[in-house]
Amino acid sequence: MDTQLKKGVLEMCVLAVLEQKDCYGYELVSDISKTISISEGTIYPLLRRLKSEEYVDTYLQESTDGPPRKYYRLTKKGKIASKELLSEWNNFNESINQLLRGIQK
Amino acid sequence: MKKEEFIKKLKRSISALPESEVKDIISDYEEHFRAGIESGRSEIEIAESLGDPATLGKQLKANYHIENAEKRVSFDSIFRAVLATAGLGLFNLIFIAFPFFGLLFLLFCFFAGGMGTFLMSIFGFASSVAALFIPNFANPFINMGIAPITLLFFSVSAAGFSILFLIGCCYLAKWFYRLTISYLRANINIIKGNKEIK
Repeated sequence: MDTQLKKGVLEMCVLAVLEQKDCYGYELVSDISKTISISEGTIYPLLRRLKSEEYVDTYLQESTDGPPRKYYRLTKKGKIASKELLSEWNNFNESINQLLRGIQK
Repeated sequence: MKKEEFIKKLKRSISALPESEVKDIISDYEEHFRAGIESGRSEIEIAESLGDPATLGKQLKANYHIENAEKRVSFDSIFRAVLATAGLGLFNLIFIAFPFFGLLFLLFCFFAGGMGTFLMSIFGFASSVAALFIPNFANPFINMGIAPITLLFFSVSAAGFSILFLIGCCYLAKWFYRLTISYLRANINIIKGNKEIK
């Protein structure tokens, strides 16, 4: 898939995953990289940006072994942004599909 | 590449950032390695799928500079943010650095034009007042055959217009600053597929 295209949807994917449950970094990365082929390291810069924009906040939670893990949680602002991105995405998808159906006929 | 080497390379590429920022970033990636090993992957595997540490470092730096430019408005901070983001790749260089410096130059020309007109009008005003009171007063405007009273009228209105224009330019500069930041934000997410890393 085109890199520019991925860049646009990654933020939406991160927010969508966090909407279902709070995640620690590795969990989030492996969830997303199952679907989109990206270099996994780039999720962390994105998470830092989402944090500075107050779409997510973080808290530490003990893990079964080893030091506590940093969990990411969607904020109210993040939930609103997530909904907006999703509806934009759906509209976009819908119109592209309509166009493609028109061409195929 | 093993964990230690990855962390070392990443640390080196973000060494210009504040220490607390570096610590925070490194601890995120260390946690990632720990969790990956726990789920049965090797250090080499994890490092490979994380991508090139130097590229990550560049992104993290660009991130930091953009945030900084947003918090502390200054020419220096926006300049750093533009350079850091433009340095992410050829695409960014072409679509960020060139438009930014082009528009910056245009803005500079507007300011210079406004200032020039303002200074000219001050000079014209002073000459017209002098010409009204001192007979045979000579200066370029009067020598061109412009009546002192006409000159007075024109220079006062030119001064007014140039001040308004300069105020407009200040708003334009502020707008340009905000536009640059949101444009940089939109450009920063360069995601490379795993295949492109190898």
